[in-house]
Amino acid sequence: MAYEYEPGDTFFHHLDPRIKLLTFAIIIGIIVSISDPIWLALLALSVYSWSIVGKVTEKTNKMLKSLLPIFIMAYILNIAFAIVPEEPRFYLISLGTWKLFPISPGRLIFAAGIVGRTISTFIGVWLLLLLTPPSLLILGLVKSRVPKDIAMAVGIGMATAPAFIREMRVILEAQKSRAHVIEYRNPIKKLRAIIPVMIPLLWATMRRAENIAISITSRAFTHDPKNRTFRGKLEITRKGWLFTASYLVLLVMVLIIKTYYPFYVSYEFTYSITKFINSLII
Amino acid sequence: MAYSIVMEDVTFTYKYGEKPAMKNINLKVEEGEKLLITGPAGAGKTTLCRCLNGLIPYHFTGEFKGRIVVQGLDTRKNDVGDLSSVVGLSFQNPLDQIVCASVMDEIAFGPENLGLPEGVINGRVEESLEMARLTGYEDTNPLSLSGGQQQSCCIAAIIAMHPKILVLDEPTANLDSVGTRLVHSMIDKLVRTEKITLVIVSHRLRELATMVDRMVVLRNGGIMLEGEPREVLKESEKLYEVGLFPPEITRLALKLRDAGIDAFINGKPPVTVEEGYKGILHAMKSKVLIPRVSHMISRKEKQPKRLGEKPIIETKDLWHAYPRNVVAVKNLNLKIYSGEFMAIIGQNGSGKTTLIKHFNGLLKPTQGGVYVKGIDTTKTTVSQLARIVGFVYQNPDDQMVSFRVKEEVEYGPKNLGLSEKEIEKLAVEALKEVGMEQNIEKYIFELSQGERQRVAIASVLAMNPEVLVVDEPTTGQDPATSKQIFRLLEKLNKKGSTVVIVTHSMNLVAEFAERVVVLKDGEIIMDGDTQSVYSKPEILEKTAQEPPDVMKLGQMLKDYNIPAWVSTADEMYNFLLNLFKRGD
Repeated sequence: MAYEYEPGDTFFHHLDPRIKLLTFAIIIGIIVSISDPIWLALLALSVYSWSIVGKVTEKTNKMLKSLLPIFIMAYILNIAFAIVPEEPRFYLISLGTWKLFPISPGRLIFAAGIVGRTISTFIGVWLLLLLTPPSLLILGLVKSRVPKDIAMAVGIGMATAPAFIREMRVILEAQKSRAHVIEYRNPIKKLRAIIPVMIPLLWATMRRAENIAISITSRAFTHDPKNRTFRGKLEITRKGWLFTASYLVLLVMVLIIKTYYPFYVSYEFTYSITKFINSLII
Repeated sequence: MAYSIVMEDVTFTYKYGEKPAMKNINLKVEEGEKLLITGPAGAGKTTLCRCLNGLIPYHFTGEFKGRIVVQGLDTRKNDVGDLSSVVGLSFQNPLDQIVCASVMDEIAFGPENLGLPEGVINGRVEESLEMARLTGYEDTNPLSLSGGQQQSCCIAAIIAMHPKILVLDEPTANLDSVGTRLVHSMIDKLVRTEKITLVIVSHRLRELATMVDRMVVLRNGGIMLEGEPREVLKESEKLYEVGLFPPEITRLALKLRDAGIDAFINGKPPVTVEEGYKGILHAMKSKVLIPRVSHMISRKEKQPKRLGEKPIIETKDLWHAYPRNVVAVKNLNLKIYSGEFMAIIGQNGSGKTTLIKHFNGLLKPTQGGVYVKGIDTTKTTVSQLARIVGFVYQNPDDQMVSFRVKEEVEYGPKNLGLSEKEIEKLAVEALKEVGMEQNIEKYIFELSQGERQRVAIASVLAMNPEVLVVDEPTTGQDPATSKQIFRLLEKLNKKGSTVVIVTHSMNLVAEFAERVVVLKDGEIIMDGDTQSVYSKPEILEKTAQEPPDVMKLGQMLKDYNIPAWVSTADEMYNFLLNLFKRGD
């Protein structure tokens, strides 16, 4: 999942970074307000559509594919540990009095909602970083009154990530060259195989972090942070405001529904639909 | 006389250091002076640079004694933030300095930190881009530039801050010959056009000795030699003592002087090829030598050894394309025989690393095939091939997986599933081979860069591979360490290992390799024994590989029948000595 800014000339590339940050914050607001998987799937689709507009679908699909095991793992864990009032229908593991991994339709739907939240958030963050140059993101954060040093730290972290990823690749190759096997299908074996790689990686990360710190200090980063200047102007266009407004309207709708009709934005909504379909089939 | 830098009796010991990294340094640098600092690894060069902008003692703490004043500011009374507005410091590795996603942002970073108005910043960015020849690359991600361009970008980013003193710490140590030339031409332009005080740390004496006003040689934290560069270069014995080598032309002139032949110019040793030519012509005239003397000397032939009929590695119509159809290797056919010492040369992006990564299966051909001892690399795993082909990486730290030398060297054999006894035996033997057996119980981080490179080689040797593939082992190393590594590889080759090395060190290739393969744009443009390849400088130049200076000198002296293969100072010395004797 190598992140690197993807230059382009699309609507999303031209959006003011403040608009992107604000929209992202609104989306987070929507995500935490709903737990229904159908709503969340629609939201995830809406966020995914940015990648089509920004012409980065290939990269986004690759990212989603690489994270698929994590999403599946999250789904399984959420089934097991979901706090759902419904009684489990059966247990996946049953050893005498030990009953582990309860399964029920409610749990399956609840876990789908949680994974929907995760996927929407991942796509949102991914596209925000992929379609915004770090320098503009820093400027956007500064103009949004985020402390300058925090904004710079975020920007430097993002700009140095690709170099770090390249280094990780070299380290992996170096270990493979010494007969170290990494490509296991078994996730536990894979995890164990990755541990030796972590040492040079840790060493490289510490070295790079130290060197970057020295480099930016030597370039007057600590000279007078309060009066640091930023090159470039930002301008929010009408289209940008409309873009944010559309998500803001959605957030307001969700909040109203959550206040007066919470059933429609909770996992119970999908659960009742499945129950209804089930009764029709029976 | 106004001084930019005044160092008075400066001694510094790092917090966890056992002895001072720098001791009793007294140094004054005049405003606008260009100073070259050199010395072996661990001499205190980087420590000195860190002192100049206050990184020592603010960032790197320890025991600091003495006084440093830069542009009137005492470094103990002003922190790095303030000092960095007058002292610009650029480092060895561009990847440790790049913090922005575009060239323009990278250059503007410093002036923005200084709080300059936008208009001023834009002006400085434009001026620095031009100085670094990066106009047109404004929106490019610095990480996608070539190494030389990356380093030029980093230096431009410092210049944009308009420091009074510019300190460059080994700016070309990590670069190939093209990158080095690019950065040196930028420094040359800077020296000629700006009144800035320049302190440059480097081992590139040949290129820099003619650009600077003064040269300082450090050893064990103290000043060993100091003076006008050519005067310092005269002290060749002292330089050899600390593992430094004067430029080849200077070495030649010094050797000739010792033999009673004066090829100096106005009492000073030559540095460049042109100066060397002038000096030797002058010496010839004084001896009344006639051109076109029919003259033959024999040279120890360096024909590639072949210990078998069948190649140990063979590529057949090999193509490799990276995603987005970037073709790195094109229809490449190559046979490597057991026992060979082969160098692969070519500029960055010529496909060298892509090619060698096929030898142990790290990369698979997108078309054609690669066969290691007849095994198709697509039908086996990297771990299987690792038993035959050992791969040593450019940066030893990328390989290290353990904290101790012993565990590190045992790691490879363990992966091969050998018994405890065998593993230990192999590890000890491998460490003996590289002369590191006394360090077996040491922690990796206690070792110098050169020692870590030896451990990296030992950790591959411990797997008992038949072929040793070494990727750029001399990058970032001082001249003595580079030569040591080549000597070690030569020793291993003599014991039967096949050595394939990727390098930019043309002098070392001339001295050690038996066969040279020249790559350009993913294709082999020349393949043969070192002498025959080096006899065609016009082809080497096409690949931006600069032939050794001695070879260029030989071409200028072709009227004296100097064979085209003469590529080292020793070879040229023997030839000229013979010529002069005949003249007598």
